[in-house]
Amino acid sequence: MTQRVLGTLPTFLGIATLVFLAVRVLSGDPASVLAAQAGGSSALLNQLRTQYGLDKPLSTQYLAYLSDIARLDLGRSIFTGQSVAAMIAQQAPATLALATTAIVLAVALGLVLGILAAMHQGTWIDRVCMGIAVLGVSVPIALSGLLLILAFSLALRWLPATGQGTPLHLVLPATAMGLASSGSIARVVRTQLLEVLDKDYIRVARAKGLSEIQVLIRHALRTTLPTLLNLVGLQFGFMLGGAVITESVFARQGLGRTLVEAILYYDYPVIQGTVLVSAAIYTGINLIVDLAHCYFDPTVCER
Amino acid sequence: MRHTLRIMAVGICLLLVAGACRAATGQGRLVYGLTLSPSSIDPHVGASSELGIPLTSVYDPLVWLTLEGEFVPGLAERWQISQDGTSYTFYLRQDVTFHDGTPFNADAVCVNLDRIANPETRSAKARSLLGPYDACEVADEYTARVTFTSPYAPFLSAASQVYLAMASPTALAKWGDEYQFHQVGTGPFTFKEYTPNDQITLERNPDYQWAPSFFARQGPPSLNEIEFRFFVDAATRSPALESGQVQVMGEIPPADAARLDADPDFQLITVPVPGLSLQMYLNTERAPTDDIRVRQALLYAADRQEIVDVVFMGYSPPAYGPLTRVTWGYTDSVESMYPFDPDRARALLDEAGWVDSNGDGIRERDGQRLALQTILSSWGFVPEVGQVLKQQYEQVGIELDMQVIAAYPALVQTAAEGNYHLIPFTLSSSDPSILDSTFYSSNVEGGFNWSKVRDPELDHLLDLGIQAQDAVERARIYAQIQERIMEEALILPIRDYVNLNGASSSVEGLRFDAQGWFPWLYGVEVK
Amino acid sequence: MAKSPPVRSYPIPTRKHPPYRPIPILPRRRAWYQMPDAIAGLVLLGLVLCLAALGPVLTGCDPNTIHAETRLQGPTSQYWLGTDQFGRDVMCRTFYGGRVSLPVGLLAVVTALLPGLWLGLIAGYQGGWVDALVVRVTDIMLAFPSILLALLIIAWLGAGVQNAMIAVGLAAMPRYIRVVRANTARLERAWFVRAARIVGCTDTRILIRHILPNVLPAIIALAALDIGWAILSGAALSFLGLGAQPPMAEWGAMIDQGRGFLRQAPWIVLVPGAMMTITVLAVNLMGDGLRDALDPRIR
Repeated sequence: MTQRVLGTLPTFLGIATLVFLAVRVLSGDPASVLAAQAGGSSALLNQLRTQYGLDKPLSTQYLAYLSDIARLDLGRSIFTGQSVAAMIAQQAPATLALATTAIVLAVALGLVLGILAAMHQGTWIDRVCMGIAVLGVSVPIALSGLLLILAFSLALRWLPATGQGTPLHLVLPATAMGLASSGSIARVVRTQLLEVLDKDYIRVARAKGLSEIQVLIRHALRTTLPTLLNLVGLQFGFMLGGAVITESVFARQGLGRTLVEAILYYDYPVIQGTVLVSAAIYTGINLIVDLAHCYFDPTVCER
Repeated sequence: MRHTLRIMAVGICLLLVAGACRAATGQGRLVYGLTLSPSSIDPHVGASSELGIPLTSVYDPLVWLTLEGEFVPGLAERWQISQDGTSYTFYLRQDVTFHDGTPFNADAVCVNLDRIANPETRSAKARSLLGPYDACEVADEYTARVTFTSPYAPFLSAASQVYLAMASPTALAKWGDEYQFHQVGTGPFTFKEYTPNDQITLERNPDYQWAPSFFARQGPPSLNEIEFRFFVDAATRSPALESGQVQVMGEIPPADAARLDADPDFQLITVPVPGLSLQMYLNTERAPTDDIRVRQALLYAADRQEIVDVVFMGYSPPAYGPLTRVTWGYTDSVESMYPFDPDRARALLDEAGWVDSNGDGIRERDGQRLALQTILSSWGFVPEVGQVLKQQYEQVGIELDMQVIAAYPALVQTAAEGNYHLIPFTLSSSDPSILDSTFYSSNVEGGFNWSKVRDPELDHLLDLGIQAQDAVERARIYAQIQERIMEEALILPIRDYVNLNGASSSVEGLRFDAQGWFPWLYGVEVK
Repeated sequence: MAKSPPVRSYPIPTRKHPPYRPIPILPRRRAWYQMPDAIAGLVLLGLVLCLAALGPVLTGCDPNTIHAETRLQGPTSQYWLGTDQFGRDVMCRTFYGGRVSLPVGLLAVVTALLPGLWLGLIAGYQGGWVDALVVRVTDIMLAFPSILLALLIIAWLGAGVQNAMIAVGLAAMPRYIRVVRANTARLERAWFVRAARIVGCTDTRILIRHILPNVLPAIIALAALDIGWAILSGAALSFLGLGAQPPMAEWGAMIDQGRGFLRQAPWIVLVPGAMMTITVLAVNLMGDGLRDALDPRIR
């Protein structure tokens, strides 16, 4: 267990190095952009470069960067001057709430669709369920989000379209994101259940007299859980970084928009800080997933 | 199970009620929709017009510019301009206090102007508005004298803009770099809160007694609270307005404008914006646009009326010169200079040696295709404009290689690298001296002179325009400047910017200032 | 009995000797008439491909010419599926869009699948430091926001639709590596693999003949869905100015640009959206059929 936690440290180092190289490779120099905005003299440009340490050799910058991270100092945004840690603390809760709600919705919907499809394999129920799953994946969130807004916020006036603050504000964006992820979950659940449903121990359970639902929940689903948890971990990771479209359409704060805007504006410290924090959250979620995996299928952990 | 269901039902009902309560805006509360979230909302630092929309109500300017073009006393009761135009003396009101209680006086004025001029502030727009600023002198407690190194006629216009806002020196000293989150002015509304990407909230200032004379209302404003929210996605702006979540929304897409206009529950407020028109800068330092005949062909071959009809649904007039029609100093002589005439364009290109030798519809010369690298910014409907232009130019044998740039910094960088033939840009300003930013030779390196023109005659005219004191003389000079720019075919003007604002019909008294972007929320009432 | 350590190599040299059956990649376990879903999928996909490839040829239509006077029209006799905001024929643009979106969606999935499969098989089979390295790299790539990863790759390769799709594919590769590796590791300890080793099969043969068919079903389900996701990611990148440049007709871009007109002209969005859904559905059905054919365990 501790080994697993310690094992994440080299991963972090790798991520930190990768993002450091990434922001320097992405052809963009925040100093020149700032200088252009503020008059464009080369004196100003040099002054800004020195101020942000951009004129020192790469290795020096790298070491300074690593020591900053070790001290948990994420620096200040080049454009707004705000402390990056404060920015992330402000924007992260909205993203986390959104991603969590969306995952819960996705899993719920995915389980329902997958179970129905597996139990009635080959019939029209199976086809309809998989059709819904496919629909979820093939409609872009920009479009499904807009449709949800038009339907539930404009026509019906049930829910607020944009912003955050109350749980009601979460419903539409989480639905849009959850629908998009539920497709793959439904398919994986269906596939796994089909593999499992004619195994011997299931037949034994049926022979024991358990109803189909009980068979499903007590035995079949336990086998699907490892893969499902794995997939959930992956989807959560995608949601953290990929929430930018949902956040733009629903006018929400979030790490997704913060990251994309920082990338577009070459705001190095914010990019680095956001990536590290997302990576930390993602690694944490996956640790939990791995632990759950161990709990349900102990053979995996021995390896 | 039934028990659980019942609890869930009650919970959902409570949530719905709670949500409804929060969303309700009573009388005196306004929700205003902004578009993009600016990187800095410090008026002395940031350059975006978005920041001015809320902040115009937080700060008072020294002088106000009315919609008729007159300068009216604001924080300055009266002012004197020296004979040579290098010195402005402002006699300030004595009854004004900042929202934090600090009294407003000449010292405050100088602290603010010096802050803008200080290179450490890294001021973007505000510093350029100050022009050849030299110093600010506190002549006595309520008299401030601002001096310039050379005559600077646009200063009153600059002083009327929110970028030269008068902020409380106490707050500036106290908050330093974090000032944008704790802004203190003298305006009718106090700055309550700013959460980036989320909202800006303003509150009524009950002590406000120094409104300018052209407002019917005097004293504290009618609205209690104004909340500004950001709507980056253009397609969601109209639904947010129509569902009642905002009462005013800026930059409505033309596709939705007609519907709002026709709807009795809403009003469409169109505000033409003074300043530069949306124009494509033609790179004079790169072949083939270094040839004036090619540039002129580009102008003759562009059917601007079609572009405006297709992309802007007729809500913007086509532009024929560097300034928009509502800008002070606009000359309509540019309108007749390049009418839509594709035959003339073809003749010019033939003359320049570009002929279609292989019959593929695109001209060549010395084995090179007439393919122009066209940069398009992803905002402002420029990609749509580009698509219409591409087809229009194909009719005369010019090919446009288009590339969309996602954000402003990348655009600035592409301009600096110079790998383009056409690149779009626009700036707004109530004074024609904005032409300096884009046509003065010193602005080629690191500035916005993206047609890369270094014309001593043009520079000289631009200098005269800034220094001339007499309005008639200035207008004459700027007319010459506009004609010269078009004679040299430095730009391809597309359209005049018109700000399309939607508002609920319960909002009364909403007017936009002389800059076109900024609403005077002081006079607004919500029924 | 005590758990025996995993045995990696045997002193018995491997050599070709008869009888040596050729490796059937797709052991047919079902006749084609027993797979109605797969047939339906194939037919649908064939229809989409025909429309994309032949539609423009048969109708002789023009996807890019702007006609200001016929903007935002619904279905008429001249424009069967209506016109968009520039007066361009929606049906025609959808055909041409298929020519762009389909191959690049496939490109993205193949870019994710092939290296993913290869690396996952090797990592799961070999174990040791190779496995540890691959796992580490995969973890890093997965924890890294995919948008930044895609941007990095595009910065390296250049703009354009193909490069955007390669970037999308590479960003998706870690997922495949993970799944393949987990399954391979599980199978590597299975009895039939040991039996194959004892008989003298080379590692390559074991991987291809024994492990791969058992690993493929899990990935096919993922890959089939990913084609749709790849096209959508391309659209997402185009809002950042990467990917398809205007006026290129491409389903994702058409949907993104048509959103602003959803209320007055929904067909601009619905037609390419429907095509995309049909494509994804078709690929999914075919993928199911393929998996059913390969998987020895499904009844």
